[in-house]
Amino acid sequence: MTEGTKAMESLPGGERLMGAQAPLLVADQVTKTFLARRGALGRRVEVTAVSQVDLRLDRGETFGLVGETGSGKTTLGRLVLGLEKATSGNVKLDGVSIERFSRSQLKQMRRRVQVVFQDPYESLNPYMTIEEILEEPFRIHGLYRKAETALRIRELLDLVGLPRSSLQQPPGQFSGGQQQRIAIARALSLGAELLVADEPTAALDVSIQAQILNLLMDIQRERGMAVLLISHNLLVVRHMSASLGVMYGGRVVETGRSEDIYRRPRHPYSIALLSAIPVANPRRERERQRVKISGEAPDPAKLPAGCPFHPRCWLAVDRCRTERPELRPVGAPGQMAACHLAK
Amino acid sequence: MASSAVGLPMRRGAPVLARWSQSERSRRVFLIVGSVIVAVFVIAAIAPQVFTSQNPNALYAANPLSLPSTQHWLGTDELGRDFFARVVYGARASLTMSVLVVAIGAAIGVLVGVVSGFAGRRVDDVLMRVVDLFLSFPGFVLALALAAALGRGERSVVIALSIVWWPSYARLIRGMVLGLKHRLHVESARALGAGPLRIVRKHMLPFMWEQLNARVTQDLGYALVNVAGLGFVGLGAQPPTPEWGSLLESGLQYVANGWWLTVFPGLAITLWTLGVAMLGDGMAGFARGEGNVHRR
Amino acid sequence: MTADSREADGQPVLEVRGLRTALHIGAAELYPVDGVGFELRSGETVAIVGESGSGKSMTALSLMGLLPSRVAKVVGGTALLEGRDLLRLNPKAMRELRGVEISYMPQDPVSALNPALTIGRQVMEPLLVHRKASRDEAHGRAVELLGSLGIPNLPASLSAYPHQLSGGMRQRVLLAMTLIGRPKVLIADEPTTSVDVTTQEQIIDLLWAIQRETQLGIVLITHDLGVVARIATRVLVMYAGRVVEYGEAEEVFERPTHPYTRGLLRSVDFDGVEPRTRLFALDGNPPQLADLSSGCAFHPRCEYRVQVCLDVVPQVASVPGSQSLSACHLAAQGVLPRLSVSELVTEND
Repeated sequence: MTEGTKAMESLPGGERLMGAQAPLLVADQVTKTFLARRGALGRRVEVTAVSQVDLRLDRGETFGLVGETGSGKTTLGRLVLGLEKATSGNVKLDGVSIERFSRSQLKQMRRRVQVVFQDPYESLNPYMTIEEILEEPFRIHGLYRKAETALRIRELLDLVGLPRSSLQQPPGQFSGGQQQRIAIARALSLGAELLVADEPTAALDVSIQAQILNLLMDIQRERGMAVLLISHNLLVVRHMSASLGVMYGGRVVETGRSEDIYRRPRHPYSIALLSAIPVANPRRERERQRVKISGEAPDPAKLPAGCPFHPRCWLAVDRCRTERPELRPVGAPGQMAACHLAK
Repeated sequence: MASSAVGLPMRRGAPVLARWSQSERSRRVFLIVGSVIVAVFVIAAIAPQVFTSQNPNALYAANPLSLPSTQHWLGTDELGRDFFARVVYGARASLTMSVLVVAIGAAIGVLVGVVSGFAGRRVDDVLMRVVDLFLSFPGFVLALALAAALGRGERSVVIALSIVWWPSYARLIRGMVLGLKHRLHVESARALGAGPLRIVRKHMLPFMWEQLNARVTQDLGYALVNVAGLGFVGLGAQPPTPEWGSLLESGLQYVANGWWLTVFPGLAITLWTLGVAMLGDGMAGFARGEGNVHRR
Repeated sequence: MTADSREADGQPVLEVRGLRTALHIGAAELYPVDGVGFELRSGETVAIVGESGSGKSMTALSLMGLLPSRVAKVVGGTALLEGRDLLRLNPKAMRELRGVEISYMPQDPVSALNPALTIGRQVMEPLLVHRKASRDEAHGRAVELLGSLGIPNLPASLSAYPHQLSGGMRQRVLLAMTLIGRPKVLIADEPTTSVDVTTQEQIIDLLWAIQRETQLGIVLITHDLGVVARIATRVLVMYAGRVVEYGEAEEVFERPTHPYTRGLLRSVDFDGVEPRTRLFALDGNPPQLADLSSGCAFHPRCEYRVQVCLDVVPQVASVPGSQSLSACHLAAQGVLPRLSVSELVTEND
């Protein structure tokens, strides 16, 4: 285990007794690279989507993963789900590395780890009725029993706030928010312990986003589920998660309690990110101190040497260009930043 | 840019026939006419007695090459056989072979296409190179060579043409699978634990029907043309079994004094092709899921 | 960034009144834009805010004469651009104005840019098409404009193709295309939706800088209230094709008069709520145009509704004690419970 994981073991949390419970999910120096064809000539390049990431998620806890495009947050989510295999490092569920799972073990795992995607319409098969969509998990895992399953499905509909009449309709008959509820119901059907929510509200109307976030919070509380919330919106993540990690260029650059990071971010990228998020209040917007950065997020195929953020960082010194910073404790207890200069 | 609720209408000034052919009503007309034609032919193939009580091999030696009349609706051929019976009974050989060719070709093609689409790059490359190899030969010529090598008879023709037929299906299906593999509902199914079989069956096939349907109905016509072509050169159904291609061939020698001997087999081939194409057009768009308007 | 921090010019450069657009779907006739009006002066930004189905994009297309003519048509209202009514111009005249007097920046840079042409060529095109400059002059202008927008490696980059650029760069190229003709008004349709938040900040700053320099009037169409707060002078809130609130930005954000506006603002007010507790959420879903309720389109989701809301469509009217206009029966009579959003915000920073 690295410094990172060891240090993370001491992350405080009101609900969590130190070291008393084994974490549900641990990512240990997980790296994912793959080959892609780029450019007009179709040249093969190596893309580093995720690089040496450590992560820890306890039962019943919500952990947020914040980042922009190319940060690797979505890929990390897929690694946790077993939809991709890590190039190096381990994803461990209850201490068992899922990299070595057989086909059937992986299938078993799917009962415990589920996902809700960003685009609810695309994630539902338009040729199936809601009933078929909700029955599918049962059928896949050989758990379908006509009467029982029908009951479970109706309970799921109640849970997500949809009427019974929805069952015979195809997904296209519903609004975006309703479709996402269906997707959530489906994800919960087999009693998942861990839900990966990949931008669950990004494609929805503003007035619906709060509804879905509330639903997720309610369900999580009711079922004691752990949630890995992936989002580009730091405000949403801060509201929903006790702790979070900020990703940039495939790496976790800051992690800790949401409240601490929100009040005093330590990594320059976190500072810039927080500064860039507009707040719905003209007066506050005008009076804010903002830190502005230029440039764009790096291309995962062409990551800079040293710290991935250095080309855009106003604090960058020579060391940042050559030496890759590791996560180290800064600021509040449990807060860590991967920056040579952070204090 | 424009609201997604707005569907794009037909261009003003498009020819009347083109516009009608894309309308709702035309679809219904095609469906009905197509089904009737196909039904008639299929019945002719399965139960020719429904249409004629004559024996296609019975010789009316006294009456060869006679014009269509009330006694012999399509006249008689050079051996005095009732030609209407010949044509009707010919449906069995011609259509059975055609349907088999398309069925077998599609089955193999779909299998290879699915495997290719799902398997890793290496398997895919190998399979596609094989497909390319087959596609690089002119189909009929290849079939001709194969059927000749396999010997006379219907079985050889079916085998030969099926071998020529499957590669284009493989290509089509593989393309569709590759395109669908990354759709979010397929990912969701994977995340639920669905295996490749279920994914193909429930999450890919429904999307493929429309294109498959268009291809299959078209192919039933092409297959017949190829079968008849092989029959024309003496491969396939052997005399005295009637088959439209071979009927055409023998009829050619009597063009001057027995025009009906070439016209009607040719007409049969044309009508089948037309009927099947109409049926395809009529069925297009009736796949499930048509009514799913995406509301946002 | 509010009106009082700038000199406002006398006459509005764009004045829209009672804009109404009809849409034909099958046998039905719908009104995705129903009675929209606002004023824009030089150097100001009017933000049109709404969710899907609100009609904000259709408003932009209606003003620009870019509606799909077979199914949609402007059927009422006026839109005076420095005195000329855009809605009464014939297509040829409208074409001459586009890009030069009034510009439109569509939502998605990927599909708005021609992948087969270099960015230099595309940025110069408005000037060349309208014969406003020679090739050399256009080239110079393009280099200058792209430079001020932050495109590096000029003039070499002019030969680049859109697919070679990142999302943020493409957005800037699109912006350059709309600004090169030095229009008086820019209608920007969701300019920040498809980019990262850090890039979004850059784009907004650019718009702000350009506006200060050229006194450009901007009509900003967006669903992102944060972006509106950062840059808007005045806010127009749309719901189901109708205007529900219109007023100065600060006023609308701090003292919203329409229940929908209030609901929206409360939904995104994360600071006002304890973390990990329930957020305020409006009930129900955004409306379907084909399924509009009688009376006020918002009433099914409104916690304050009374009988008149179901029967009578509320008109946009002034609200006692407020500078804003609101389309709400209760607000118009001043009987909407006083609720200031800023009261909900705990001052913790």
